[in-house]
Amino acid sequence: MERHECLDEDLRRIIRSVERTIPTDLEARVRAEAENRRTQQKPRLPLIRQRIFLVPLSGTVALLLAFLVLVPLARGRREPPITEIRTEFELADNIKIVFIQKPDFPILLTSF
Amino acid sequence: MEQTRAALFQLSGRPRIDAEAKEGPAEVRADPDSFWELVDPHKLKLYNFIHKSLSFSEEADDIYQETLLRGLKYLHTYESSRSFGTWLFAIAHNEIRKHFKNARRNDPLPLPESLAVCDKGVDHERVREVFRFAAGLKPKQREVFFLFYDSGLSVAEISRITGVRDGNVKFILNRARNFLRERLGVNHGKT
Repeated sequence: MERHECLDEDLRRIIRSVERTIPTDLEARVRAEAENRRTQQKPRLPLIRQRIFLVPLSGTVALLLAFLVLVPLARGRREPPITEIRTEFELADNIKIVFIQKPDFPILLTSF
Repeated sequence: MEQTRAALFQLSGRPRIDAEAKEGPAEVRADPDSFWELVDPHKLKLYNFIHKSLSFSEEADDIYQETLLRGLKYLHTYESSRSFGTWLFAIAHNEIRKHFKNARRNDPLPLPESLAVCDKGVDHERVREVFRFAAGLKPKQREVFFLFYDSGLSVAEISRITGVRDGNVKFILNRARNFLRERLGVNHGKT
């Protein structure tokens, strides 16, 4: 690399002879833009106010969850409806009599 | 997150650079004040690197601004034991790359009519010749060229910033040397 040193020095001098100075308004613009972006990133409401909003929000979510979980559970516990009543009689000689009462059985039950 | 490849390149086991030695052990907190303090020693080099990499295009100011804003945003990822300058230039590299990717432009960039030459001892035609050559390079090669000759970074640092391997960085620089040696009519280093 040593043999290039003189040429490199020449080139450096030539290239560095063209130098732009930073315009003062550009510096100001960059800083203003930086400040602008920084403030945009800030939360719009103070933390305490955000928390105040969080309380009703989390309460609503909890209620919704409870509703979604408890309603199916409550439904699951309900007695299954009776759809038929069977009455079976077993007689001698392997004879079996089966009475099947279908939807109108409530009347039969009350008249029992 | 917008690929926070966001310039947040891997920094491991690399030597410190000149600018870094001057910085000393910086206490970095993710607050704007410390960021501007850290940027201060590098901002002129950074500004010129971006401008030269974009052939003094008008969009260079926007890229400079975006580089600093991204630096500020990701300051918390910067490790104070590392070089802040290299970190910042890596962000600039990503912004420049994004610019060319969006513009889908790999063609040579037009040079401005006149280049404001500060050093009076330098021949304007030679300056124009060098910048015309740089404008004809591909974006990544142009960055390598200016990181070496303008920003004064080492091959290893350039490799870390741009992701171009050491050998390729040297190859790009050698090709530039050979071309410019002929164009400028100098005999430095000819064996």
